[in-house]
Amino acid sequence: MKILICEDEIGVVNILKRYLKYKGFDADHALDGKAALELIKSQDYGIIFLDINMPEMTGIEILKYMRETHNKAKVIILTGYPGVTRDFCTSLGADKYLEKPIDLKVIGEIVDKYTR
Amino acid sequence: MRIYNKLIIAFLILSVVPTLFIGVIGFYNAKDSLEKTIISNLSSVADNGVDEIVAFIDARRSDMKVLQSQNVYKTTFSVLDQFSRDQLNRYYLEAKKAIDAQLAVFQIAFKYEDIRLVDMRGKVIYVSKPGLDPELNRYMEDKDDLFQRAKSGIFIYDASESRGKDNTFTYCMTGLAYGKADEVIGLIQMKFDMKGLFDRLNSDVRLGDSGEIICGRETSNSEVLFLSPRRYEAAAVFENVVPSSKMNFLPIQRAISGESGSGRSIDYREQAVLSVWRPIKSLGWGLVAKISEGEAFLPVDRLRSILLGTLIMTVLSIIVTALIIAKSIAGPIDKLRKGAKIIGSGNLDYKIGLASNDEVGQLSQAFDTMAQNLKKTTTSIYDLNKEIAERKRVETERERTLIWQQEVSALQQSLLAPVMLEKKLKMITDGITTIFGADFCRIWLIQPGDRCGQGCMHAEVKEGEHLCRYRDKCLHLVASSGRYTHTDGREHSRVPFGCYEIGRIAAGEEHKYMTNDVPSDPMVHDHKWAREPGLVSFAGYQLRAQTQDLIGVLALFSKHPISPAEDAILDSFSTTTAFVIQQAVANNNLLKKAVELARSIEELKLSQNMLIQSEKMASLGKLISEISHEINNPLMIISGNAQLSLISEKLSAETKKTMELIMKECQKAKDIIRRVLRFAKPSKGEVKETNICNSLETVMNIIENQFKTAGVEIKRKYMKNPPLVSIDEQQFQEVVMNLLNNAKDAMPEGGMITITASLESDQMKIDFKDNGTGMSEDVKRNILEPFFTTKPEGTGLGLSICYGILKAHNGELKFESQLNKGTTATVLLPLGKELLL
Repeated sequence: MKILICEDEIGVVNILKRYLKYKGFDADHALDGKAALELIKSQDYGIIFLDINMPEMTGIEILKYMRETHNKAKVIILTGYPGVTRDFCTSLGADKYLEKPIDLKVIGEIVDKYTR
Repeated sequence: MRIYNKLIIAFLILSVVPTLFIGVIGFYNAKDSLEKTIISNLSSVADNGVDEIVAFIDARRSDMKVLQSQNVYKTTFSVLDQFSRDQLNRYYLEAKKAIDAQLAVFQIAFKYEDIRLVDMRGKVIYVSKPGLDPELNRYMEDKDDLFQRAKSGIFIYDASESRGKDNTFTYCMTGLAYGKADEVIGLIQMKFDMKGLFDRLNSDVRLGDSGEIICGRETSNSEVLFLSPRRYEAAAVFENVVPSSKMNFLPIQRAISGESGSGRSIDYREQAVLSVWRPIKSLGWGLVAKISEGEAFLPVDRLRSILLGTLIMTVLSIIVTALIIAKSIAGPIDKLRKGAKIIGSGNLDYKIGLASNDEVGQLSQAFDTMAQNLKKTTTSIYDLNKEIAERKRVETERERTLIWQQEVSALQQSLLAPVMLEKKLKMITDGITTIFGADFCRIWLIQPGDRCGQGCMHAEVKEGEHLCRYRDKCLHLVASSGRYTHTDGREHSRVPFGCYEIGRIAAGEEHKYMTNDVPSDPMVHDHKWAREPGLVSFAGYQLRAQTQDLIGVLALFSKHPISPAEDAILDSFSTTTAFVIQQAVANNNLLKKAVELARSIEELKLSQNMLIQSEKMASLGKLISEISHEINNPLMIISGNAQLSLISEKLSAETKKTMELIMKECQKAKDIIRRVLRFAKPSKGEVKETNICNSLETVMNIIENQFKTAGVEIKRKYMKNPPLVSIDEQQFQEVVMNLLNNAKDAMPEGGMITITASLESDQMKIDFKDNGTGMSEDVKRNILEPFFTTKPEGTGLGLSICYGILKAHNGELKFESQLNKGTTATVLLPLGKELLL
């Protein structure tokens, strides 16, 4: 199963990629919304980690697009604004909503669940 | 016995008894005289009968004598005797023809039935009747007796063979027949009928319809033989006999024995008769003329009926007359008696009013005059007494009015004292109750702006005339004295206009209503309630401001009638009361205005502070929002790296510990950011109506054990059934948690926290009171400042967040504190249902 990480903060991307590698997964990544959208259009991902506040396109716009095109990938929202958009994202069809800083164990549990 | 009854009895005795007496005497006299007349009539009939019978028989005797002297039978007797057996013998026929020429003519001329000749042997040798006669040649059985009797003279032989034939009966006169030389040759017998005679005698009008005459003689057996045909037993003549044993009792027997007389008796039919009896001495017969009593006394009976009828009529008319007379006498007397009684009982206006000119009438008029005179005297005394009483009453009234005025004046003086209006009104009702002896007195006021709402008993009234509709048309009971002193009756404490006496006075155009007839006055709504304690009077007065606006009602019930003077004082005093109220209201308004001003200044200050505070908050919030996002990423990178190191690298124990510390601190930083964010942007999450006490208890469940360990005890004082409050329960619980933690931290040695939940003027009030270290003024002033803290570990955000949450709920957070004694944190939350006009 392919995993995509959409996050404009390269430090966070690295942490996640390293942890997923440790868990035995390779993951693609995009540092802005536009790049992320290109990858989602061309590739078939099983899990997508999606930051909300990104250049070019926000995570919300990407999520809306995915649900309009019936993309079946599991979407895990990552955000630095805690509490504010949880309900909103869930209503748009996000599968998980995590507030930064995120305990890596939580990431591990989610990935284990969706790849099983 | 009443005069009326006495008079009636007297009248009856005096009139009926003589009438009856006269009637009876008259009747018996009449009867007696009638009897006499009848007897006299019968006597004359009897005497006449005797005379006629004697004359008739004498005529027959002289006929016999004429016959005896006739020559013709003397010459032919022997021929007839010789040839009587052969009647067709020529000689016999010749002889008979010669005798017939004499005897038959005699027979026809004197109406004899038959004339016979009998020879010495007793054989009938000649009968004068034409044709063949069976009697001819018959031998007489009693010929010796006949000759014997004939020798002593002519006699009547009454038994006849022809009796019974065509209802006739025949007598036979027998005499001796003499020959030419006057020697006895045989017998001459002449048969004759007496029916005609008796019929004639009986047809006498004096015998009436039932009367008759009978004749009889005595037989050899001492019996009576009837010789005349009897009216009712005609066939029995010569046959009927009466036994001798009754001899002395029947008139006929008396007559036969030679007596004359009259009287009442029983006849052969055993009927009562009046009879007269006479002897017929020449014949040895007796004659009786009789008439039945029924017929004889018929006129008397008729007379008796007439008399009886007349008597009854007389008695009746006497009774009626007696009644009328008794009434005409006793009536006026009775009227006089009644009138005297009525006048005697004191009714001098009563007039007996008998106008008659007799003694009773005069007595009545005298009575009336007396009563009038008495009345004049009595009236003048009465008038005098009345005037004295009236003067006394006026005097007493004047004195009492003076006392009332003085006391009311004193009360007015005392009202000048600077006390609360409520107390003044109570002084007024107390005063009225005492001064005027009222049963109870009350004052009701309109209090615009105070509509029955939460906490008013009256608000529970959902229907009926007590329903509060308009707050400026509802009277509130504010003072009550006398029998009722409470002012908090559920329904009665507030009375809408138009309801009860009070409400009607308030709604009415008249400024007062007064009645001294409470038990039946239509204005009083509950007569039964009023009757029980004996309430007599009610007076109610509108209380009006100088602007003429209605401000309330003063009313009282008394057990005595309210006099005009009392009413006037009360009326005037109600104006005073209105003035007192108005003044108090004015003072109160002034005071209120002052307080409002002070509060406005305070609020101004507060809002200034709040403005500064909120500006601070807003800028701070924005800043925190901005930086939190920026911090979260580095935090993520730091904690992530530390975590990765822990997972993937073999670290020394010390490094591992360091990594863990990094992770822990990152988490702490995350928490701080979260709380700061919430403070900066506190928003109502899920708001719903909540029972505050239940919500408090949820927090208690979490922290109570922990608190106990720290030596802190929690005491609860919750009101029962608290009203629901609209809150975000989670946020409210965060506030509670914060305040309790602060309280606990203020008591490091342990202590007591008291939580009180109560209502305070449409707000839910929750106090958290501790007996800890308390706060200095300086601390108190800054306590809501973000980042202000007195705790070494504190962030300085806890109370700021609480404040933010409560403000978002339109609530408040206040502190009362004294150093070393403790602090009370108060949370105020508006009630869920706010009454909005």
